[in-house]
Amino acid sequence: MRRSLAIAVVLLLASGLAIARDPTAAPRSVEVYPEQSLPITFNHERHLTQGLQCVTCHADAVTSESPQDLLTPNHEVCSLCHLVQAPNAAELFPKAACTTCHAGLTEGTPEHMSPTGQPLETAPQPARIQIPTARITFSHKTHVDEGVPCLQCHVGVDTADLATRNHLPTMTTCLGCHDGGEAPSECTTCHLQGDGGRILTPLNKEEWLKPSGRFRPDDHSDPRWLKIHRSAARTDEASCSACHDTGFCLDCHDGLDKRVDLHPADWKMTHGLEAQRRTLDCMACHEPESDCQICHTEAELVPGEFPSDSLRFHPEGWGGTPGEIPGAEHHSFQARRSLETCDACHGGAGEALCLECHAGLVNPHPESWGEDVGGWRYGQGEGTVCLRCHAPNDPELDGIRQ
Amino acid sequence: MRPLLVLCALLLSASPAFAGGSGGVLATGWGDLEDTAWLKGEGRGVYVLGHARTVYRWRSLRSSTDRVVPFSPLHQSFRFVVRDDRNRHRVSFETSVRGGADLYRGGFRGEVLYAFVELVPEGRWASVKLGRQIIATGGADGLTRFDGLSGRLVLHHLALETFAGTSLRSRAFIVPEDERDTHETGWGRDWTYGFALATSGLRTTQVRLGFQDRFRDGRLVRRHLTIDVHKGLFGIINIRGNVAVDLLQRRVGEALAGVDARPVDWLRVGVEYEHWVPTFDSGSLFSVFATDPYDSLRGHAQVRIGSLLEVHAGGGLQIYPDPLTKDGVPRPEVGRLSGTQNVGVSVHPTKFLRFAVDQRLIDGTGGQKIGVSMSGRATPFEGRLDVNLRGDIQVYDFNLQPELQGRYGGLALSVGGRPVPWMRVGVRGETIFSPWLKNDFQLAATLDFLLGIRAMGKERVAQARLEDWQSVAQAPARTPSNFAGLDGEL
Repeated sequence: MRRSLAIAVVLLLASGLAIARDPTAAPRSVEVYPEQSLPITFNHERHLTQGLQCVTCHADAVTSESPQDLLTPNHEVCSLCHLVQAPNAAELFPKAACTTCHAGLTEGTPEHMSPTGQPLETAPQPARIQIPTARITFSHKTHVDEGVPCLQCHVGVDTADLATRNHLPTMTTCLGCHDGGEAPSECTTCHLQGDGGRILTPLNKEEWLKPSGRFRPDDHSDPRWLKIHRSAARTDEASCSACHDTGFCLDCHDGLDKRVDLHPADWKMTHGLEAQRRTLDCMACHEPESDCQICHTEAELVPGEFPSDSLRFHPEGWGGTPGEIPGAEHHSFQARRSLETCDACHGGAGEALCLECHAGLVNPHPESWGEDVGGWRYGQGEGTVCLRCHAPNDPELDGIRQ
Repeated sequence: MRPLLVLCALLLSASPAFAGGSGGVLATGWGDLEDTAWLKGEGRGVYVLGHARTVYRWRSLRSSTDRVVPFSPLHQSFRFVVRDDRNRHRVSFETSVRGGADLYRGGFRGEVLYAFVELVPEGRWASVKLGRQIIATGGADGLTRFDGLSGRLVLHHLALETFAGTSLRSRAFIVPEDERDTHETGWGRDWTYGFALATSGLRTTQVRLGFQDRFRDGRLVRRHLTIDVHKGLFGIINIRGNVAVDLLQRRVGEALAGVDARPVDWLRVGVEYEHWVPTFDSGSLFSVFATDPYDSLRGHAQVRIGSLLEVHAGGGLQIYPDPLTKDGVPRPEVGRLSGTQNVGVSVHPTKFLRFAVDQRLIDGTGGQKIGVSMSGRATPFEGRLDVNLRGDIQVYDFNLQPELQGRYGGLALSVGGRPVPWMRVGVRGETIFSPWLKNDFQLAATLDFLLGIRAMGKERVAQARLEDWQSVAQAPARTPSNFAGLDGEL
């Protein structure tokens, strides 16, 4: 069983690496490169080995400045070699029958073509080739002028039959040069720019353009994305702002309207933990004195209200006798394990409750306090916290003062 | 009934898809994007965007003394952006203000959430922001809001960032007056600054070294050093790490390291290690008490089976490493591990329909918490209607936290729609029950309007599409795990 599992893992990684190393195997984004329909027969390799150059057929590419330009050769170009209008077209070399390129178009004959090789109105219609425009900004001319060879972007097309979406450049290819030095790295250099100067992401009606996670830890399709996006934002906020403005963050973080799928039903009981663990995450948008307290006060969830007659928050033995720790129900265990949950209710002015005991009856410092703390820790904060219990002239503070 | 029919008619009036046909070569162009895509080079100019959002909620809960407490907050937010990039450099002004009151209690409150001017030169090699702003990379604390100045200078493969300003409590433009900070309560005495070095323009490597100081009431209360790293390998593996060091308390408050791999399109796997210990402002009494760190190790996997089915599973261990407290008292729950496990299945019968079931368990020597949730989401009419339904139940049974023991559950339904591109309406209903607050009912309604005007020389084009605004509420994103947002802890 273990061996089978190991083999499966190795095979998966190997196939992944194979895809990663073969640029034509990597999946292309359908949002950027929409699916094509290419009902045609063609062999790029054969044409190139016959001595043709890319520009022989794609002459307009060198001057094209928009991906909306149609750069595929038309009948006129093809018929320079493929004499489709010749009476004996099917017997010529190179072959020139309709079916040479348009598979299945057997009813087409040379009589359907004009002397210049254009199909007449009476010509039978082949299946239509559909090449939706790539949803990017691109100038072939700029790249040709910079001396970028065709095959640097259209990797593998020289050995391919048809040129498909898989011979269009991926971001990996583009970023090889677009590094902010050799070529601009600004996202809208290539991506369409929407109103707002940011990347236009609603490229079709069902799926938006989303980062894949290939270049940054920003895989928006990861089901954990809502939870882990903080890490990506911290590492490279500038990349977030390529698509999102400040208001986008506030759509969720302003706390006015919670998404249904965001928190489980016990959120009310546990949000204090998150609130204290990421203090500024909340306070960047919430005003603790009003946003938090309006609920806590009205629902009587404030220190002083517990225990009430109807409800008791902390278990028996929670407080204990000062100086004694009777068992696991004692608050010290909970405090050491997740002190932030205490702070959720007893923080700020609520700290006075702690001081009732810890200012005199129970020393809050561990035995190693003097050794591992010294003056550095609280001296940095000018010892403010020390003065909550100690008098300014307390000799015990001498070390901190130094 | 009639308004409903009108709404359906509007939703059904979709713009046509790409034209079909036969014969010849067809380059379809940008299709329905053509009227909205503001293409580079063609789209530079001056534009003004405005966004208004109204949110009303009615909520009722039981207090700890069994009293019914109603809330009825009504909030109005406005966002406003003016941007000019005609001459390749960019000047913009962005602001968001909101105000509101609880209709039961009165007392209008309003504030400017952010308001800043941003300057970006041609080539985007630098940026400067002046005003009230929110940054995510301020330090270990996550989002930081301040009134001040921030800047970014991008050199080849290196970026320098800095910010400084008065923070949080120093709030101008706050209503009512008694919520504003005064000199005595912090105005002018709460401030923050920070700087960072980061890589820029590297294809698969991001490294950021940040430093932040925060002062409160004129005293240094936080000094953080953050190190954030990401490295992508072969296009299929991501290695990431985030470290936050509290320099005042001289402890690593947070260390996270993860490896995620997507070897093939239908499989994601990963492991993550996290070390965490709470840190507090040095002026807080809580910074004096001894606290224990916890370490956790988690793994996860997600498999997509065709386009119909997705299965994800995860699990991990949470370790409290110290068997004794710093007072030398044996910890009752420690020396032992606690474990987490979750599994979920989601089904996508069509592109606009999704059903999911998720289960999560936290178990250990202290007790257990188990939860199950079911959710459904439908986004028909090309995402212009968005219906969400969710129900979940969780059972707490912790002998170390007996006060939390009991069943928690909730049921929520939200319906949102964009009958026209410049407006969105949404309603949400939710009921939550817990042994604490008994039943909590909530109804919410939101209304969004967008207005956009772009001026290009003598040409003036009025545009209004919520999609272009990039609002979270509009995004037809996948419904995430129902347990996203909080890891349970034992």
